[in-house]
Amino acid sequence: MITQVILNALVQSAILMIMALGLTLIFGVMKIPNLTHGAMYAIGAFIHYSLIEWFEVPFVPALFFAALLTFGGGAILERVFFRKGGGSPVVAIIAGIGLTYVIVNVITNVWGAWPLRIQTPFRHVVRIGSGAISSHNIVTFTVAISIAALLYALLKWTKFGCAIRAVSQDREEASLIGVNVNTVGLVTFAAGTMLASIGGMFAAPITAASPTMGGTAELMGFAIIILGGMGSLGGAIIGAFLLGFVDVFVTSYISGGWGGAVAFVFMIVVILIRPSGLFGKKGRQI
Amino acid sequence: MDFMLDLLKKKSTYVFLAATIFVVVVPHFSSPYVLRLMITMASGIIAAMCLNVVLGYMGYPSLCQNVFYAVGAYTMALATLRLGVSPWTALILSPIVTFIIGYLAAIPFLKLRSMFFAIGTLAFTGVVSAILVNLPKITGADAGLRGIPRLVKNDINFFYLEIALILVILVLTVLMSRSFWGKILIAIREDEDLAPHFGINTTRYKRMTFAATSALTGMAGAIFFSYQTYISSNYFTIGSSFTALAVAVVGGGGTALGPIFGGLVVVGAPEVFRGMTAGMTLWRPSFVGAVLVLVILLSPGGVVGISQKLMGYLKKRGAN
Repeated sequence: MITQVILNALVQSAILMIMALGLTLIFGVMKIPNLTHGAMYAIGAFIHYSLIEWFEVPFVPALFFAALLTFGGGAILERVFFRKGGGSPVVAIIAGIGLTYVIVNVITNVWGAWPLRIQTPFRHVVRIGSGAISSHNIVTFTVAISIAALLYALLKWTKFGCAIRAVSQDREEASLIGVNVNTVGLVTFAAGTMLASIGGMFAAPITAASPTMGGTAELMGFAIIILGGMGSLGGAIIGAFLLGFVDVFVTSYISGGWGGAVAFVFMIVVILIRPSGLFGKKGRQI
Repeated sequence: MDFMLDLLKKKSTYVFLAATIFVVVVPHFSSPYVLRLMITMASGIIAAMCLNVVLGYMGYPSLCQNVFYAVGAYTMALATLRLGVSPWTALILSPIVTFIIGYLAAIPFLKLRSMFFAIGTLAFTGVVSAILVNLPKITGADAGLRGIPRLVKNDINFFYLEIALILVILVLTVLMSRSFWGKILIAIREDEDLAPHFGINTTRYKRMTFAATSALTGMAGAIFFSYQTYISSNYFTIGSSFTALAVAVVGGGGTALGPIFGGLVVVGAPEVFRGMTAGMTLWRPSFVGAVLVLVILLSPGGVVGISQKLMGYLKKRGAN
């Protein structure tokens, strides 16, 4: 049983990690909590579903296509709504709630409230010791790790990544040395949204896609980035694995309903000891 | 006599009179559906007014207002159903219990600032709603608890009870904003690191404010669920924790009357759309969401901010 639980926890953490990376990226640059993240997680899965079922695009190209579409969607959200908020977290929270209502409502009306299952081409099951893992889960895990590595490389070694880090450290200084703060915000928000939707696309074949699937995931995402230190990439990765393991272990060994609650209590205890999170430092983010 | 004449010249007197007549007369002539809506709206307004003190004066965007609403409501339900206490005793008991829970919650969460506080309290709501769902023997979970005794027989009296509580909170808020306490809260909002340098024990004031507003919210929960006679965990999901914040912010944060307008917009808008868009019931949540987004982006000062802007604009035009 323990092997199986660990395998499940690894996959769960990987999906949470993809999403939390997006959240922490957006927080680092724009300094607002993005409450549309859960809705975009869901809409990613549904766009992916329609590309496969309605337009008969194969699974993997559909993934790239859907990711591009949500990148555009995120850019529109930032340009039209979140930039107007002027960086005030309360305005961003209310706007995020309103947009979530709209997006979830649109999903329900277009695709229906019933859960949809996306057929994945990776159906082969691999046995590891006493546990079994489907190849879809292996692909999910690999993709998650590659995304984290790619993000790290982009932020570290490209000029634009350098600009993102500059803005996350000090918005005004960055604009003084010639960084286009608005473009950086736009691209970061769009990329973060895209990461959320990729998380949703990989989660949907495992859990089935429903309009409200993003709610719990979003809350876990916030718990993760608070635990890891908001705006810290490494913190988001460690936090995702910590909370993912706590969630899956409690769910497997105690009871299904308590997984999320125990994960939140764990996060609350950590921030009591370190209010800035495990890896959160003042002045240095991402 | 002069004092009376002064009152007659003021606009606010007429507004106040109109509101009083509206509150006293309208419930007697409205349908049960409208009365129910008004009672729901009033309880939402109470929760938002309490949050308004924490958010608008102290600067902490709390997302666990419905936790205290739940604590008050469940105190009412469990005390009357399980312990056999009379509903009026339970009504006194519920703010006391909520005060204690609020104070205990304040100790860890008020260490966090701004959006960290928001997300931390959101997680707290997550924990509490999981507790409500997972302890069916005590809380009744989804199926809920039925037969909570009513405080008063008539629905209209429930409405008056809530209006009385709203007035009490309104007076307390105005008194507080003019007192030393209010000044301290504003000092905390403007610069929390500087405030202790003036010898203010910020921690104590923050915790007391948070606990006191929680207690009043709990009382509102007790009244509403005594009216409803039925309670279940479905009323206290994570999603519903946003409502109080939406009401407070849309109305206009940091103004005593803001939450009342916010309640009219946020709780009332869905019902208006229900009437207007009979053929489009499916799209109702979209309209509500759009109203929230529009109000907050067009005017961060909320409805009160919009009306002030509008009045200023009209006055300018009048002067020209």
